[in-house]
Amino acid sequence: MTDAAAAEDLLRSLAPQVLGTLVRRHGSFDACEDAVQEALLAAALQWPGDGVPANPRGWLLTVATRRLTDQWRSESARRDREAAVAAWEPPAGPVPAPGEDDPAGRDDTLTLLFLCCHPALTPSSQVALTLRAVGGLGTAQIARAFLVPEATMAQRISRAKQRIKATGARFGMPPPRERAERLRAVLHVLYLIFNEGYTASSGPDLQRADLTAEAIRLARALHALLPGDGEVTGLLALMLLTDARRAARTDGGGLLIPLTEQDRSRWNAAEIEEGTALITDALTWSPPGPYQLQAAIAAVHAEAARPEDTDWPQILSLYKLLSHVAPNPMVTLNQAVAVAMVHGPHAGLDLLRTLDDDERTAGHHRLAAVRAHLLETAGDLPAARAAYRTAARSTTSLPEKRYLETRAAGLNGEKTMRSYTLDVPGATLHYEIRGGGPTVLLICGGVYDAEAYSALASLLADRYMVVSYDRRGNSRSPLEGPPEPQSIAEHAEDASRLLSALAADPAFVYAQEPAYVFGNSSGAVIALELAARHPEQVRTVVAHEPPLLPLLPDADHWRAVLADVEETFAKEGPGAAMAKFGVEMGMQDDGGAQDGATEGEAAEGGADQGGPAEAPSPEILEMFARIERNTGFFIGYEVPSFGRHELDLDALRGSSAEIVLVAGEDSEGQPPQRATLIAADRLGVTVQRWPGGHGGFGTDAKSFADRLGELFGEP
Amino acid sequence: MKYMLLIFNRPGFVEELSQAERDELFGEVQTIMKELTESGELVGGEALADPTRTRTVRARDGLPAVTDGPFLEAKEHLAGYVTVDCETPERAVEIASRWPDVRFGGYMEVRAVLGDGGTEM
Repeated sequence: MTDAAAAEDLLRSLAPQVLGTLVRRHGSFDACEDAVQEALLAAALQWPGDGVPANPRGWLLTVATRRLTDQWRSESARRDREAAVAAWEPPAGPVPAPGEDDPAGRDDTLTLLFLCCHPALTPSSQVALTLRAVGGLGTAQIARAFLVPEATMAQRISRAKQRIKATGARFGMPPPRERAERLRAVLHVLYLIFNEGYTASSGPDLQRADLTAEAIRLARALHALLPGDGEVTGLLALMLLTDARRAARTDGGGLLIPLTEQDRSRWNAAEIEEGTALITDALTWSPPGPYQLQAAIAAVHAEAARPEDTDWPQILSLYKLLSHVAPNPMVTLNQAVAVAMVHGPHAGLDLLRTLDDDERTAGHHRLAAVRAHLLETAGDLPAARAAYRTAARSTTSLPEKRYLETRAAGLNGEKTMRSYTLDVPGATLHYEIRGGGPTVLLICGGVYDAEAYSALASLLADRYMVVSYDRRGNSRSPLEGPPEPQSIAEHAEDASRLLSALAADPAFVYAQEPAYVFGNSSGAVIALELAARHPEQVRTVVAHEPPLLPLLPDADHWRAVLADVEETFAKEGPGAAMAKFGVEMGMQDDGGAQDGATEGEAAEGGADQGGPAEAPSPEILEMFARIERNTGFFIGYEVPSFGRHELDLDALRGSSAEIVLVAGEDSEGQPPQRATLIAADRLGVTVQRWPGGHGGFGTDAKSFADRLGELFGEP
Repeated sequence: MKYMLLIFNRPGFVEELSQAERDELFGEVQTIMKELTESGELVGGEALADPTRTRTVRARDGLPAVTDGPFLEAKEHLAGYVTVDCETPERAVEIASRWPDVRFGGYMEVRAVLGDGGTEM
């Protein structure tokens, strides 16, 4: 701490003590407060030059008393009451009178707090007066902090003092029966001061942010005076735990960052530790009050290293207790979020509905904002968008407005792609979720991965929760051990495990319903296998050109081809094996042979808005690099076993899932399409013809999205 | 919470008033301003000059183009504003209701001012 800062700190802590002493001696809070302000100003001007006096409290007391006397004298002279002055003469010298040592001063601070938070005053007057009389801040500083002209603030403070005078309140502790009520008012005022500073965005408003430090300073002082009051402790803990997040709560541009998206490494560990210790201790000896419970909730949030580690059941039980101790629609609002995290968004939305008729919250932007968030989680994106916009319109906070508008605008699939991983036996799956609504699972074929579906997924994301993933061994889904031959059965189990994991997550309500599944090429075989094995998880399977080679009339030939590919891979490596396979398939001789979509086609589809002339996006270029790595795995460990896979057609016929087989308009005669036509015949279903070839999902993403939407039905 | 009270009236309506009415109008405004100053609610305010002095800037073919006017004879115009910082929206409406222009055919709009503070969502 610099000398100047130390001097200011000293001044501000002495201010209420000096004022208390003066008021006790002379009675007039109004006049004494002005006198102390003048003494503080004099000290601020003189001390830096002359040095801090040996007895700073005595110095301030002397100066303030002189000012007070001057003031009385001039008024008295005017009123010809000179005689009265003698009674107010201060004791000579700067030494405090006996009994005016620190403890008395400390009690005075408490008495002053009670006086400044007098029930006759409006909350904003209580705040202003507390900051001046107890906090020792100047009117100009307070005015800047509340963004009003200094004259306005001066008038507010002067009016507040007149009010107190008019009530005839004496300087002394309120009677015991009023104390609890008055202490609540004091705590509320400190909380208001804290919030005024905490909610101020960073940057140009550092002035205002200083209010949090001031509120914490006052709360500390109050805690030192009343260490046995659980709510005082609770408020101090709540302030510390909340203030700990300050650096992480806005981005460089002042945009608000929600709790779940904050960089937790930027939270202030010292404040968290102190706040947590305070609240943990208080709860062992104090009946839980509202500030303690809020602090406890903040502490539970603070102890989670990652948002997903948050102990939501505990938070929910704390909110339940809070709504019991201090019923309040704002508590219910927060409780709804906790309910949603524990029991799913619909349970949270149900609780919110109880607030629609409460005039304190109906039309409040927080209600609309929480509703929007829960609707988004539940996958009802159009309703979520509408609720975010309602919230943005009803807030009077510019940062909140910007945040809510950004959320509303961001509710399209491409921008809200979220990536996750799922551990499965022997591998870790990378999967991506876009949008919200009924689940659509996309299973890619061949050498491709989740990224190949980005165009299709984005188009579907306005109505569905679109899930795509990298199959095990490919791209970002590494195997635990070295590469080994893959099986359609295991890959179908992976798809099933992924659907189960989504269904188990309360955040995804629709995921408890059977999913819509689309697969292309080998992904189509996996999708069909999934429908045969786990019909309960699948509502509709759309299989685009599954290369079911054993169904072809020349199945023997294909068995030989696969054996040859296997041997070539072992002897000559992936390049030679791939070349042989491509020639046999009669489609391409490039890396993506079996799956048809050339790199150019995929780029076109993946870039979405871009036409064929558009340069591939960085994501697409990354995918190309992954595809190259996948090619060896595909030809060596997938093609031979996948190509021999015999689908259980009887099981599929008996499956409750609807089966739709699709053939490309441009891939007539190619082996996968021929196999598709035979499979359709055996299963007794008709084949739909969609634009594009074997890789139509990428080249004709828009047509695919429209047709899938028709098949799945609009949610 | 800060509110801006926008004062709309018909341009020139003051000229049609009698001297006594004019005195009453300005007297009332002065009284309210004095009260708001004393209560510590007044943040600021301005009266706007006659709309004939208005210049309007619009984009034309992508470039800003300036025109005189609008010259609206009969319609209301924005005549001025007062910003107050008060405890409740009801109090802001109460202040607006007392504005004398309302009695003379004008109207007041009470608009909440966007603040720069916000809570984590």
